[in-house]
Amino acid sequence: MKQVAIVAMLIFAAATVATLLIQSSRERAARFEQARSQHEELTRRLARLEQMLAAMRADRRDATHTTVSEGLPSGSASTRERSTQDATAAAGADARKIAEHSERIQAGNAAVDHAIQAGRWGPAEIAAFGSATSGLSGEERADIMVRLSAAINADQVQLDMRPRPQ
Amino acid sequence: MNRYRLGLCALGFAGALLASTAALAGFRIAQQVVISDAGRLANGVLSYVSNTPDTTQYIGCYSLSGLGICSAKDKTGLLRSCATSDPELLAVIRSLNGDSYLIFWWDTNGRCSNIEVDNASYSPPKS
Repeated sequence: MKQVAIVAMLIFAAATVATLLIQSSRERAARFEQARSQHEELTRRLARLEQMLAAMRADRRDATHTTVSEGLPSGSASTRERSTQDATAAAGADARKIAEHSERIQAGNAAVDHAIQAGRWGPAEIAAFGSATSGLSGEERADIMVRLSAAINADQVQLDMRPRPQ
Repeated sequence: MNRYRLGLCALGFAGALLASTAALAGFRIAQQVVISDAGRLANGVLSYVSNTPDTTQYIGCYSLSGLGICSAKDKTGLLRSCATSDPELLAVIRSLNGDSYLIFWWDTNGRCSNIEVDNASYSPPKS
């Protein structure tokens, strides 16, 4: 009798364990299914967002090539977007101008440095300086040229207006 | 400016007394290129310098897009120069002609501190 009771208890325990394992497996399967459905939903939402983004990009391209419409409300999204683009373009143009200006000043100083090193200032150097500093103000050019004058006055540079042999 | 005018006249008369070679028709001054490092100045009569037989000395200014440069070289080969963007000095440079008397001063940085031009009958004409 005792042995029968032990066997029965073992069978009951095994059945319990088996039931728990099955339940656990079902729960995992359910959670996996739920995660899969959430993933699919997120994928769908992402696809919709990408479509909206593509549509907005297309609108922006259209706005770039469209002149301002007189009938457009002043605060419209399209106008604001265009204003932003204009401001960005203007900032880019300003940055380019500043860079070019800086390059001209550097080129003018380089021409003077070259003349000081060579100890000579002649027609070729004058032409190079004029070309390099075109667009600079007279004050900016003078600020560069005074360095040459100072070098001349220190007997470091000679004016040589004879054309250089080819 | 008056001081410079007086200096200009004094230099002109000194040039006339010391360096004049001829006074054929009316009073003329004949000022070759004179450079004074002590006074940081250079002066001369453009026409007279141009007419001298030596090929070393010269004096003059030019302006280019708001930049003015004056330079002078005396007969010993001493060369001095200055640059400016001062509108008043640029106007003076633009008043130069081939017979002008020119005097310019420079500072230690090579910048023109003053420029004066005298266009008068007593400058010899450029030949």
